[in-house]
Amino acid sequence: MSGSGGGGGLPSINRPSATESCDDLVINTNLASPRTEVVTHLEPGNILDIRLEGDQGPIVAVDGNGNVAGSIISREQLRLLSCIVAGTQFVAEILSIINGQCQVQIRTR
Amino acid sequence: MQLNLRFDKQVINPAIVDESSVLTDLNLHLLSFPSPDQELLPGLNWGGYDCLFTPAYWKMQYLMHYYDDAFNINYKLGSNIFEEVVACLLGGFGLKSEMGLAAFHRLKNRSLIKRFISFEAIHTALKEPFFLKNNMARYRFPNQKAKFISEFLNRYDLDMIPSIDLELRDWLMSVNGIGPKTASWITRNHLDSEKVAIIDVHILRALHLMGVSCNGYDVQKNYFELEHIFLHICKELEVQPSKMDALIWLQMKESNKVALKIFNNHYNRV
Repeated sequence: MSGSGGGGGLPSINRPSATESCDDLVINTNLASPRTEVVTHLEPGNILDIRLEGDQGPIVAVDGNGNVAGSIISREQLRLLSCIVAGTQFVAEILSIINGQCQVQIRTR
Repeated sequence: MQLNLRFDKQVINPAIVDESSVLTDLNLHLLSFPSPDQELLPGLNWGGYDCLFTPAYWKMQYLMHYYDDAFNINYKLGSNIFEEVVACLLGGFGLKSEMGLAAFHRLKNRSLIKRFISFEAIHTALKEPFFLKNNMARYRFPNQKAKFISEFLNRYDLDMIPSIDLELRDWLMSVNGIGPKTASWITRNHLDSEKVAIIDVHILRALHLMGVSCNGYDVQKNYFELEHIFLHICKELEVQPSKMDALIWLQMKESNKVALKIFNNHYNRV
C-alpha cells in the first residue's frame, strides 16, 4: 500500500529516534573514508560543517578551511539529505578520534 | 585552526541515532567495498556507498539496517494467510497506505476475516468513516473490495492453499482482485519468500536510479521481466530480495520528493 502512485509493500520501520523532525535529528556515527591528512589536525570538540556535494550526495564533513574530513553514511542518510535539501543546516562535533576512526555527532547548527 | 569546544552543546538523550558501533563493526566491509567505478554487472558500476541510490548505497544500507534490531523492518501485515490476503486486497492503487491499514484493522478487530463471511458484513464495515490523524475519511472502494474479500473468503479451496512460494503466487493470481504484484506481495509477506519481488513504481524508480537498464519495461505489462532483473541484482549484491525489496520501498517512499527530483534530473541529463 503506497500513495496514489501504485501498490507495493507496507513495511514499517522501528527507529530509535521516534521523531521525524529535522530539527531533532541527531546522529552519532563514524566518518566514512576519513582523510588522514585532515583528521590528523582535528581534536574532540572540533565542529565541522556538514555539506551536500551533489543532489545525490555524498554528505561530507568539512573543517574550517573547507577541507573534507570524511563523508557521512548512516541508516538515516536519506533523511539527513532530505533535511539538508529542505534547508536545515547541520554540524558535526568530533566526539573521539581513536585509531583513525573519527566519531562525530551530527546535529542542527 | 580555531577550536570550538562545545561539550556543553553535546546532546545526550535517548532519541539519538547511535551508529558508531555499527560502523565500527562494519569497518571491514567498508574497507573491502568495491571501488565506485568497478562493475557490478556489465554496464553497471557499483558507485559510491555515500551517494544515494547507487548499488553500493543499497548494499551498505542493507548491511546497516540488518546489522542489529535497532532498525528492524516489519512487513508482515497479518497473522495468517487469510489476514495477509485481506490486508493486501485492501491496499493498492489509489489508496493511501494508512487508509488501507486502518480498514484492515477494523475488519480484523471485528472478527470479520473468516470463512463464509458475507459481502454485506464486509461492505458495512468498510463504508463507515475512518478517523485518520483527527480527520474523517472514507474508504475509497468499499463495494469493489468487499466483493473481492467476500469472494475470497467464500472459496471452496481455502483448505488447499499451497505453501510453496511460486505455487502460492500462482494460486493467488486465481483470486479475483489479485494480480502479479499483490500475489507477490502476499507471498513475500506470508512465506518470507526470496523467490518473488514486489515491483512497483518505487522499485522501478530505484532500479533506474541505480543505472539498471530496464529496456523500457512497464510495471503493468512486464512484471515478471522486471522481477527477474531485480532478483538478479539482489543475487549480485548478495542480499536477500525480501529484505532488499522492503528496504528500497521504504526509503523510496519516505523520500518521495527527493527521489523524484533526482530521478527527473537524471532523465533530463540523459
